[in-house]
Amino acid sequence: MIALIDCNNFYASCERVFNPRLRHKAVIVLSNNDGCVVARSNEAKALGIGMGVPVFKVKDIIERNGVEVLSSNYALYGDMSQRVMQTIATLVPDMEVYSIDEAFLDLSNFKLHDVEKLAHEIRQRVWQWVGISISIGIAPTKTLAKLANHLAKKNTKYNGVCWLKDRNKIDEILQTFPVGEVWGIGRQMTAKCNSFGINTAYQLTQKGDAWIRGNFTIVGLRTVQELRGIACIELQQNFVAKQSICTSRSFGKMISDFDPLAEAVTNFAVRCAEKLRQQKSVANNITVFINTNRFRNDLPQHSQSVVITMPVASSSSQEIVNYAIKALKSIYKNNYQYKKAGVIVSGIVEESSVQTSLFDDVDREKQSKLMKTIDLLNHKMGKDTVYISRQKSDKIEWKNRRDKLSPSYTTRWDDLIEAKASEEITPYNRIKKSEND
Amino acid sequence: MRFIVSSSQLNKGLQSIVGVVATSTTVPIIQNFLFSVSGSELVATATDLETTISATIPLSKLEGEGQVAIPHKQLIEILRNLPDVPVIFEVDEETWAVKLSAAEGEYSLVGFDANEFPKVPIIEGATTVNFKSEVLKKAITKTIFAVGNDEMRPAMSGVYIEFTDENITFVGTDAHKLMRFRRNDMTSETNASLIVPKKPLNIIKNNLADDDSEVAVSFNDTNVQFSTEGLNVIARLIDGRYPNYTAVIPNNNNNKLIVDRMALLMAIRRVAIFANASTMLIRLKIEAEQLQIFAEDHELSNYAHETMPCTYEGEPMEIGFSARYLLDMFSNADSAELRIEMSEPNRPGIIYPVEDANTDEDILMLVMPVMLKS
Repeated sequence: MIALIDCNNFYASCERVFNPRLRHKAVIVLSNNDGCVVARSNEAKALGIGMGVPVFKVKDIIERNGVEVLSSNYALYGDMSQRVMQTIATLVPDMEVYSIDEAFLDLSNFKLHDVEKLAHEIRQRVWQWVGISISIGIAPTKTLAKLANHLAKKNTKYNGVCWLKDRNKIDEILQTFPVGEVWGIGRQMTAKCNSFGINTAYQLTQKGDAWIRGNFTIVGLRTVQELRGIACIELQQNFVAKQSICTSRSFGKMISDFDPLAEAVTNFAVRCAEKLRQQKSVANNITVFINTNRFRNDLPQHSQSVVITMPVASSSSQEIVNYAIKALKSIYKNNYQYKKAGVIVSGIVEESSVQTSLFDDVDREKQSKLMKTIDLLNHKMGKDTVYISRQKSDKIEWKNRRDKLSPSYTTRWDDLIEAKASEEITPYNRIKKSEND
Repeated sequence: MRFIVSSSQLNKGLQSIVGVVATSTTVPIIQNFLFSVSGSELVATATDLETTISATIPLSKLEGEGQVAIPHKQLIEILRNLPDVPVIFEVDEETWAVKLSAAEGEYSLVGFDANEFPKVPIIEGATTVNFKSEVLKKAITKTIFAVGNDEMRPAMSGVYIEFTDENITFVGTDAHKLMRFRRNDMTSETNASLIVPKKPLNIIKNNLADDDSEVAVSFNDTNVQFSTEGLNVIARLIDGRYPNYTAVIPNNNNNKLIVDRMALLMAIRRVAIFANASTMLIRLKIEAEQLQIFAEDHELSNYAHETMPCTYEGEPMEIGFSARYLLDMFSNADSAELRIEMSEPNRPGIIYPVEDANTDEDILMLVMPVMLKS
């Protein structure tokens, strides 16, 4: 038995935990550069604000209804996500963290009659300990658990927990469930299904295996088997190191000079290097890309990327920055206004198996010690306490627009909420006082 | 201009030069062959602006000398599909229209003025060294596979050839593996070194015979020319400083392993199936008389282990290598046995063929290890 836990309106919920003023209000969270709506509270959904819409398109609704608008605060969401996952793990240790707000649980070690009670206990504990409300879908396979979660969220009669217990009930639900909303069925597969007259998930499960495989490959067949209740997609509990890491941003305003562009690329390269070190791996290749704003037809356009193979796979910030800047120099052109840049590290291998190079003059041991020390300092004293000089200048032209950013309540000492108790208002003091009187 | 040439001879000649024609270029004229006819010969030339190759093809008959550029694709295709018949070429020197008549067919295509074709470079002040065809072919074959592809390090993207009054050395490396092929019986009066790109070397290698016919290698500071019967290759040299490879070949390698080449090659092929696909890391655990080869992939829970006999002098050691590089090296060697010399697990392994002492030829292979950390 598999459970899928999904945090309800996660970003908006995180904001509400530390800002009670936002409760029962329409709240939306915006993407990088405050461009599009990426999270909505139920109240905002009810106002008809769609997912992913550019914020300027819903400006009227926002103003008319006093919708609270926030920039995305990933430091807060990341930390809250970790708290949610840790809380769940106190009850069910067999867990696959699937995304920032989703986790699959393996419930096969629990007795069937305990499952529903357990699910409600998880909901209760996460709410009590972290302050985030969650929905839980339970079913024999991951795909069905995802579907069950969808139902748990949509229908209040489930009280946040939907358990698809028996086959007849599952089939009944599949008969009205649109095929395009099944986990693992994308836009192309939906269009193809529709062209064959398949509109519901149930219709798809009734097709023969050979036909499904022929039309949708083994991947499609796996999804269908999962809908039939046969588990084909396993829980990935082990940490799988990423095969490539990308750090990229759209700039707050367009950049044409090399120096601020290099500053941005340096920061992206440093983040990539840090992520590599976190997962104890090193990368062989660095890709740097720069793009002008493709929506600005009135401006000259230039988009280019370049890949550099390092002589020895590395996770050193200094080394990755050096090659990234070299790469940037080779593609940068004067007189273009760049809107976005990014760094991708790939060809990732474990740091314990690095191919050495004949002409390598870097003292790898020393370099590794330096990075460990910097990581330790930055961990203890705060991000970028020690940084590469090119990372910071007086003119921070490339940074995201985040005009409506909430404080980092849980990850910055300065943003920690202070609670002050006065004698007059605490109930305890009132009782004490009356006793004394 | 009118000439008659055998379709098979022309096809053979053009096949030897067509490899240099760039598939995409901003200079359309170099998508053509330059035909120069005079005497009883046709010289067909192709270029990618870096490398220029000419093949000499005998003519059956010639009326009027001259030059014309002919689109390479159509010509190669028609010749490939013709039986061995005489082909009559008629060129209109006003319009550069070319008409081919062969067997029962007539084929017309638009040619171009030969003056638009880039001038064939002339190597001035050249030094010339003569090679036997089989020696040059072996020198290129033994080194070219080790050459890198990294555009950021252009010097390592060609074969380094060093001429001295003691020997002539060919070196190829991508910084992970290195091949050195030296002929002690060949010398040059002038000390010189050049880096030759892979493309012309591959073309010349594929056209060299395994015999002792003569190949003249002429070079100056910017170009090199390989001339053999019927074929002339001129290439621009790679401009740059070749890394000091001699400094990184260690001398004090006290651990010496002697193994059967094919047995080790096959064992590594089998074990490597179970290695991590991206690193291809295999570990060699070497003790007196026994060599163990290990591979594992934690993600897929794969594991492989083989034991084979060996002769070993030195301290027991464990060293990691990329199976890919070892297989490259071992399959490029010819000898029945190999001697692998090592010092430390983080220092290169040096591989020599073990064979009857051929004092004229000296082959050294070097492969860098993969660092093993627990």
